[in-house]
Amino acid sequence: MMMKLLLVKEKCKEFYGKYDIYINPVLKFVLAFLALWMLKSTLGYMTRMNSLPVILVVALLCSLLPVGAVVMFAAVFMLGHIYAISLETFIICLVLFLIMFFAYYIFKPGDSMVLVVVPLLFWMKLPYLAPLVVGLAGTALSAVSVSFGVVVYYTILAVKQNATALIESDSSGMLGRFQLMVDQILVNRAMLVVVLAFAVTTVLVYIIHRLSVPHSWKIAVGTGAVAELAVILTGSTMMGVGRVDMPAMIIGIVVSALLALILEFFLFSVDYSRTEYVQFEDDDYYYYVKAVPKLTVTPPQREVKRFAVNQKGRERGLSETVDLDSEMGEVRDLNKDRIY
Amino acid sequence: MIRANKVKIMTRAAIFEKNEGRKALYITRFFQNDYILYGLLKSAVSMTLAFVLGTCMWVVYHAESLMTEKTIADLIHLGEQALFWYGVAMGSFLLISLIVCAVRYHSAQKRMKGYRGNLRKLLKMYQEEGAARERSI
Repeated sequence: MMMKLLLVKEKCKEFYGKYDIYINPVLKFVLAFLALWMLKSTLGYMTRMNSLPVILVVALLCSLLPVGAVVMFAAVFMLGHIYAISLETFIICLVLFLIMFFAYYIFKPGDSMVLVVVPLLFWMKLPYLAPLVVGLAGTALSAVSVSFGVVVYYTILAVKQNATALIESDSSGMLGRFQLMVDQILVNRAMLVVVLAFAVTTVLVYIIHRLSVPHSWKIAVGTGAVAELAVILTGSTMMGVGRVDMPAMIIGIVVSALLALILEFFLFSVDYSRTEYVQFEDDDYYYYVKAVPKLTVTPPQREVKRFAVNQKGRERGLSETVDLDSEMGEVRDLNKDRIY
Repeated sequence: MIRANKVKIMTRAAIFEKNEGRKALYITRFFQNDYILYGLLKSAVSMTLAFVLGTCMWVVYHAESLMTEKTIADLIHLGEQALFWYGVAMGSFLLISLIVCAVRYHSAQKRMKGYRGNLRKLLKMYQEEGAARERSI
């Protein structure tokens, strides 16, 4: 079973090494499409930004640009939808985004993608996965990105929940609507608890997975899951957040931990070094080099060996073949030794 | 003549320059103190802009009470408080920036070790080639 999984892992690595030039744009396209679709389904107040062709064209554009473009377009779409509801909320969100941008610029963790992925995971009902995965893949500073991702999601939620009050312009004055949204977005205790829990978990997972102990990645995921649960429960009690749905949260955290372990096996513990195309020159030549990564585990290939039968056997019409299964078993054992 | 070893080293160096080395090459262009000072300066500017924006939002949020209930003395006191919090926020952000910049500089230098080793090997090869050419002439 383990050997099969390892072979699948190697196949994935080989596949990525060969086709990364196509895989990366496709992944960026999927990420951009999902982000814009989430904004359409949760906010969706600006009809022009809701049409499928617009979303597809923007996602296609994002697939050709660096990952930062996905974040930028998602922010533009979000602000566009919010602008369609009320100007005050738009200004609050714009200022909030600018403050986050400046704070992000101070730390520059270099993982702006997290700002889009965290709200997406919330939308997919898998929020607890975010700090576990980011802790494994990122740095300690990624806690900043995760926290901002949580703020973005709660901002979307606050706008969605108060949309009716914001659209009815005569219900309160401009200042009233401004105060309502500031209260809903910035003075949101539930959000603060989640921000704290996710930041602590990200840092903890990052620190533990880097320890030089056996199975540190798995220990990191387990500890992170427990820490997440503990901080959310303690924080909710201390800050007087309403009732926490315990069974749902525990199931969510367990599922997230399992998913994190699967991702760890297939994504993070593999060196997805890809085919590199580089150009350089010396005094005599220009070099255009294609560097292809080597495989570490070679999948055993079945070979049919036929032995010449002797005269006696030929007379009896017999041919002899090697017992392939026992041969394959030996090859597997050899490979197993090499891997561990 | 193309030498396989030289191409290998040059390829490794080029891959490093193209990927993870890009950042390290940029950072190690500076002296350590200059890099940290530059980072602190950027952080201070970003922090100030973020603080100004936050303060503006706070003022708009409390606009009604500020205009009707507060006296000049209260406003001056509020200003002092704002300055105090600005100082606290700036101090903490600068401290974090200092640590982050120092760690980044050290890790960049560490990453550059292998690259510099490759460059040294290349230099040696070039010197050998040059000497061989001179001898042949």
